[in-house]
Amino acid sequence: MVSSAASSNPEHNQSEKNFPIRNGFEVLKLIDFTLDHASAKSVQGRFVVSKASCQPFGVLHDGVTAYIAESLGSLGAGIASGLRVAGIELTINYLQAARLGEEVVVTATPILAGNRTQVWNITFLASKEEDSSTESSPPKVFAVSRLTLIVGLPYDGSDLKKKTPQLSSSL
Amino acid sequence: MASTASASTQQKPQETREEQQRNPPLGYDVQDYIGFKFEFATAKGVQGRFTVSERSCQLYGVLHGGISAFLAEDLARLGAMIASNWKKIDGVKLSVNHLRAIPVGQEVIASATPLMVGNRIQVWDVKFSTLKPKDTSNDTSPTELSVVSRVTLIAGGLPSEGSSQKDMFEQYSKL
Repeated sequence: MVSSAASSNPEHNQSEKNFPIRNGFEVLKLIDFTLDHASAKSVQGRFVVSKASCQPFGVLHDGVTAYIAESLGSLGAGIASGLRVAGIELTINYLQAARLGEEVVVTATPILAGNRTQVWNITFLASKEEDSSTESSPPKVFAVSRLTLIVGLPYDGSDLKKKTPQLSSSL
Repeated sequence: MASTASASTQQKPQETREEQQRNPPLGYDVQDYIGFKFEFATAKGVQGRFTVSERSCQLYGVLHGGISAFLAEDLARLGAMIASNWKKIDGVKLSVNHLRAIPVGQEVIASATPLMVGNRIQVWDVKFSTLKPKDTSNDTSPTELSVVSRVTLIAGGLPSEGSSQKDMFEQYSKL
């Protein structure tokens, strides 16, 4: 059950919880992350802070934020380049904490989508709600992040033939 | 939280017993999911290890960079909570350098040490090491660095505010 077809499509829009077939996004499923769209110019998704993604004070786990930043940035870079990409440096600034139950919209846009390196900007914003919007209030920013990736590492698929250790199936 | 008694029969008996006895508190679901186990957690260092599996890998069969970022932040935050006597800790900045690709099946040791522990600001260094392949030259150390990270955190409030976190972690670590 393997295919990198999803990541090599130039654009695909997904409105449900669909992910590329190889298990690159297991933890995203764990935290109920939904992808809105993924293209070479922008990747966006959203999730609601839940028990699985929070840290003990009922706020969003910073590590989960970092994980999502790396995931979306890598996804966008893979689509933009069509080749294998690998993140080499991730920087993230945590500005505000998102509480349990808040919806967070994550957007990744490229600063540079080059042939050798790519740099992506990922922002975590509060989702706008229709009844509470005013003309001039900007959305709350939870975190900003920048991911640097290198492009074009070789991949021969040899990992797919190996037996992998199985973790226990329950949480 | 409902007990996970319906575990598959492929598990070792030790894991089944762990999961039946444990009632994971908030904040450790992802670690359990990827199989990360803490070895020790003190004010001078936090260490744990896990094996890269299908749950923590990305598209190309290597460790997902976001997982190492997640663990770096988590270990540093735990160390900062202990070092600050369980004050409330917020992450301010995380910076991760991914140096090597870690293939599925490889064991990773994650180790966090404090660079600076102040009253407000703490800076922690987190390193992820993997065993070197056997056919290398005469290097003395058996492990090589795969990920390095630096985490800046801020401590606020009174020590008593974080005591629930201490209880939760103690409960979590009784396995």
